Amino acid sequence: MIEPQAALTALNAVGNSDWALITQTTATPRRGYLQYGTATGVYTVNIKPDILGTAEKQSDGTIQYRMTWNLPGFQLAAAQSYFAIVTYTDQAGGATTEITWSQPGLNASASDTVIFDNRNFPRLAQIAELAGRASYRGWLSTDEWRQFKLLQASSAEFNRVIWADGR
Amino acid sequence: MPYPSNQPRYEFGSTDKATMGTIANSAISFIQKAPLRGAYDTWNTQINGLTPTYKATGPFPDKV
Repeated sequence: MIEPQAALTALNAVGNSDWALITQTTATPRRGYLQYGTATGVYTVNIKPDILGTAEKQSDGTIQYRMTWNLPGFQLAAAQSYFAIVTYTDQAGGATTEITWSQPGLNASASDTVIFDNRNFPRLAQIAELAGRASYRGWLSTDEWRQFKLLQASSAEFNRVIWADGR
Repeated sequence: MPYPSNQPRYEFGSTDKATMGTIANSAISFIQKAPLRGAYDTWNTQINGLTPTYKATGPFPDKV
């Protein structure tokens, strides 16, 4: 039997940090993915692939199953509230209730420098190629457009920021 | 092999075509020199603001 959704617990980023840890525990193993965004009910980021809760023995001897998402890269100028749900993709389906947490501001500045990881340079070159094609002929095939957006999303990974104040 | 003229595609208006040129130039400049966060954020905003029109059935011209 699949248990009803358990409470979703969000642990806020600790102190002056750019990450968030979100965990979800259930009485039976469940599979799902995390969605979050900056407005209630509007989730602009999907964290996939789905993960399966792992068994964790409790102090009272019972077993709970815990999903864990460690979200890096919240390099914010000012504090920001986030809203999240876990959507289950196992047979029972459904989603948790929404939780919210506040991510601290880090004084991120437009003058910070974004350092691209080496693996992103081929992506930037492909983006330039596709964008140039779109600019020249005015259209992209469905595959080209999908690839363009995927490249944009994936090029945001692995980047490093050198803060304007020297951090 | 050229993309068949009767296949679905996304078409860009004149504003988006110009923006695509800017996006391409920015991407090249990012390869040449690490950008400031402000420029990088602007670039992402430009990409996210593109509003191509999905066209399902052709035939289409080579250029629009």
